[in-house]
Amino acid sequence: MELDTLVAQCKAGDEIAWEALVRRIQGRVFGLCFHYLRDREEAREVAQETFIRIYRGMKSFDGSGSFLAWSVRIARNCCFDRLRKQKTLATHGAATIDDPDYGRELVEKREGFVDTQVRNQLLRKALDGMSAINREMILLKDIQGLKQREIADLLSIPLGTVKARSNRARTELAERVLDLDPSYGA
Amino acid sequence: MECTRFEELLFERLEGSLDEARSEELTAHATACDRCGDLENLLTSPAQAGTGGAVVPDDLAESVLALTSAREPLQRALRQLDLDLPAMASMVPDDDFVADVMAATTVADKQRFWYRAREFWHGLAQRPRFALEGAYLGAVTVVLLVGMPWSPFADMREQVLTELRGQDSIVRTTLAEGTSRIGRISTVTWSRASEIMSGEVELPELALHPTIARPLAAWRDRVAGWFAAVWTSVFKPTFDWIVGPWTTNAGDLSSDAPAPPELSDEDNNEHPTRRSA
Repeated sequence: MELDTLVAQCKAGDEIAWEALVRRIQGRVFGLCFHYLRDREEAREVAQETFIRIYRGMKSFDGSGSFLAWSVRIARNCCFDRLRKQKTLATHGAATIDDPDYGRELVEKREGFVDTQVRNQLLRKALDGMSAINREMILLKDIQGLKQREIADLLSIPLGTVKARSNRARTELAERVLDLDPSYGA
Repeated sequence: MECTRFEELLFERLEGSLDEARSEELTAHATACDRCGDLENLLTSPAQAGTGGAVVPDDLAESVLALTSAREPLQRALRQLDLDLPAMASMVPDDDFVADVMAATTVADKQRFWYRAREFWHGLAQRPRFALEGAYLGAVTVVLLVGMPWSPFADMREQVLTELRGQDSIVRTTLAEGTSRIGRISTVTWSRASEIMSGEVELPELALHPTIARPLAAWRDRVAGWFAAVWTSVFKPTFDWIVGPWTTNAGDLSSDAPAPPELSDEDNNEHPTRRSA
C-alpha cells in the first residue's frame, strides 16, 4: 500500500493503517534517531516519542509536502530536544558509533554481512570526522533521501546552499573514506 | 565478408591488433563495398577524426590518463557511496517497539485524555521553575481570594481573628503556665548552684589521708571562692536580667489565669549538703 494512502487512512482514524504506517517507517525513524543520539536506548525512547508526536499531529499534516520529510522533521526536533536535555550537543561531534547493527537491515540483504559491517563502520568513522553541517547534509540527502528543497525548508537555508554544500559534503566524505581505506569502491 | 564483421575488424586494425591476413581481407571488402570503403576513409583520415588536422601533442594522452586515473578512486568511492549511504537509513529497533508505540498512541478516548493530561502534567512539573511558579501562583490566588476588598472571602481574616480573640484566655493561660514553670525551675537550679559557689553550702570532707586531704581541700575552697566571686559579679546579675522579665511577665499574664502548679518533689529536692537555716 502506498504511503500516502496509509497516511490518509490514518487521518481518518484507522488504527490498523496507523500500525502499518508505524511498521513501515519505524526503521527510518529509529535509524535517524540513532544517528543523532548514538545510543540504542535513547534512540528507542526518542523514536517512540516521535511516533506519538506524529500520531497527535497527523491531522495537522496537510499533505502539501512529503510525509517522510515531515516525519524526519519531527524526529530531528525530538532528537535535538533530547540532546539539549543531555547538554551533549557541544561534545556530540567527538562521539563515535560502535553499534554493529547500524544500517544492517537493507545492506545485509544485498551483500555479505561481514563486508557490510566493515563498510558501515568505515562510513561511520568517516562521518564522525566531518563537520556537523556536512554530516547532517549527508544524513538528510544521501541517507534519508530527502529532496534538496525539503532540506532547505528543514534547515532554513537557501536552496543554492543546499546544492553546493551537499556536493561538497559528498566529496568530503568520499575523500575521508579513501583516506581511511584507499581500496573503498574498488 | 559481411559489413558488420568489417566494422569489428576495422576497429581492431586501427588499434593495430589485427594480423596481416585479416587486414588483406578487410582491404578487399573495403574496395568492393562503397559503404565500408567510405567508413574506412572516415576513420583513418585525421581531418575527419576530429583533430582538425592539427598536430596532437605527444603528451596529451598521458596527461589525460594521469588526470583521470587520479580522479578514478574518488569517482569509484562516490559511486560506492551511492550504494552504501541509502542502506544506512534504516535500522531495526527491538521487537516490542511497535507494540509500545501502539500502546502509547491507540488507547481509548477516555484513557487518551488522562494520558495526555498526565503527559502534560509531567512535562509541566519537570520544568526547573515549576516550584517557584507554583508558589507565585499560590500567593496570587490567596491574595485574590482573601486579600482584596472585593474578594469573595474578604471577611475571612476578621472572622479568624475574632475566633482567636474568643480563645484568648486559653492562649494566655497556656503561655503563663509555661513561662512560670520555666522560670521557677531555672531559679531553683541556679540558686542551688549559687549557694554552693558562694560557700553557703558546706562541702563534705575528703575521705583521704590528712596530709593529702588538707591541701586538696584548701585548693578546692580557693577555686570555689573564685567561682563564687565570678558568679555573684557576672552570672547572677546576667541570669536575673534574663529570667526576671520572664517571671514578671508570666505573673502579669497569669493574673486572670489559674495559679501555676507547684514544683514537684523532684524539682524541690534539697541538696543533701544544704545547711539547715
